[in-house]
Amino acid sequence: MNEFDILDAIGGVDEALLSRAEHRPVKKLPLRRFAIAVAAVMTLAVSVMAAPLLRELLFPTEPVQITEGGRHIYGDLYRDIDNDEYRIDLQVNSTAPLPAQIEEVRLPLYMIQNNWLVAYGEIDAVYSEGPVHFKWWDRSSSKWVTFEQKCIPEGRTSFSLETYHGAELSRETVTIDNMELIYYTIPSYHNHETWEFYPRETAVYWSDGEYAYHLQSSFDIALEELARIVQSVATVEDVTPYLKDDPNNNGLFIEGPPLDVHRMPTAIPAGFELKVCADNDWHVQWIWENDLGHTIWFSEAHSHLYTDLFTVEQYSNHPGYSQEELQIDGQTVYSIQFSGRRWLLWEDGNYCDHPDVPIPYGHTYDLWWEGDDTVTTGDLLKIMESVVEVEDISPYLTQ
Amino acid sequence: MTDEEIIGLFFARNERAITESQRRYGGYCRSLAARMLRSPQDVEEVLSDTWLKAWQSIPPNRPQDLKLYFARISRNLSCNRLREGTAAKRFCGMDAVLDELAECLPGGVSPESEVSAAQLQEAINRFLRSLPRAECDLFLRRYFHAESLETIARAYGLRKNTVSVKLHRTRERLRAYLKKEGYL
Repeated sequence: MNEFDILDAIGGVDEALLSRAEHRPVKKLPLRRFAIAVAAVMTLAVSVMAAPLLRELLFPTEPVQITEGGRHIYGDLYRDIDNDEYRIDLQVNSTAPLPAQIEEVRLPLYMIQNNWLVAYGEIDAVYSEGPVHFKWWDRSSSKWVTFEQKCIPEGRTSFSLETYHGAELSRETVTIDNMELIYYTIPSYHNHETWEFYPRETAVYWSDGEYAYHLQSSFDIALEELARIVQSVATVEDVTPYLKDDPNNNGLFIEGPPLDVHRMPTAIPAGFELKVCADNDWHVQWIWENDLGHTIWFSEAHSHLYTDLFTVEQYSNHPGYSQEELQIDGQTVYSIQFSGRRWLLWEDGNYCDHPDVPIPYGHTYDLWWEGDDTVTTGDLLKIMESVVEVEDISPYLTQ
Repeated sequence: MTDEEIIGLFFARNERAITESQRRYGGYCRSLAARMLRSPQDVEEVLSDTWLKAWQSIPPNRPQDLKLYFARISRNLSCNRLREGTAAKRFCGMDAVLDELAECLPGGVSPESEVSAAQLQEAINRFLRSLPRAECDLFLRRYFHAESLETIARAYGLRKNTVSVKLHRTRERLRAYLKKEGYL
């Protein structure tokens, strides 16, 4: 067996699992209905009027040389419509040999020295692999800026620029210090179905002839400020002082300590057979299946309910999606449904602290039905109410 | 045109099925193949073969999810090219994906293990179904869709390093699982 066998085997994975992974989580922002309505109308109008021209300008099939003179930067832009993503392939001409890997870390010192973003801004850096990546983030205003440094093997390098469905880029070039910058603007976008609103973003790419740089922000950067940032990019001897973990990072994967108590539902409908019972320490997964291929998934975890609700959001753009909060014996139960799926989420509400877990954790539960629409939320609530403590789950473990 | 209508064209042996499939899912399949193969020529050949395979297999197959059906064909054809070495110079991103998967094997490769593809596929399905939902999604985005760590990180609001660590842990679990089940 080799890695290709595993790659092939992953190619045959269940459609249900693939379908689930296809829907990316959506980062929700507070609803601002008035702003959203205005933005929607404006975006629609601009898109309708400008789309054909922009398409012609934005999707050249051949590399386009942006400017001449000084250091050259060429840009190919490819759009992956289904993934809402653009790939930007940059080519840089340089008379000196280009380093094959990042040998010197370069940072925009102006931003660091002037605490440029805002007071209370945070710096978050990923430096352990790949390109140098820094992020400044002000939680109070939700403003952020990212800075990336990449090497340019063989004179070419590429960046991915994620956009939102329906958003069209506009591009212009700016010259600073004989360096050509490619400047993209991603307009704000409103999803009419989910009432989600994504603010406008800007992305700037340039090269100093050795490395390529990418600056992306959640707001417009004035040209004078951009010039100061670009001019301040310099080698830092020791990057350590700038590397900080974000203690509140990632709402998705918060693993608690191993579960000390296990529970399982006892009112599984007739015809269902236990297929999976897997203990992943902080998370136990149970799956039953019937002859029709309908499945019931039950999981308990040491986690925080909001991490599960974060996961739920990836389904919010499904047709027929609805979510409601139920009160069952004084306990809040989140009920989600969309075509062929029913989902209940709840927790015991007793949070504990643990030195290895960044936020308080509790016992959370998740009951998921996948099959058809014959099962109601009421049916699922009956299964939920049948959940009891199990002293020992080892007889049930399937792996 | 809806998926159902396109499938109807396939069943009616109407060649417009190919045109409509290309129009609706050509970009999606192209980007998937392009993430795995470096050469645009390989990508275009995989795409052509995708429509041919679809034409040959629908009917009798009636896909539940046409997009994933095409994705699976494109991906598997791309894998074949990588495996057979017929693809032009491998894309560096895919090198990383394969290197990561090799970590699931003792010493990288286990040539003496004779496991059928179907058995391994079923084992991986069982493994993935046992994972927490989000970890399973991450795994598939990386190893089915061959998405870069940066792309996954942005999609999930995570740091790239976090994604890397999560995937590493899942691969370790997969390795332990395959060993326990007697595949390694």
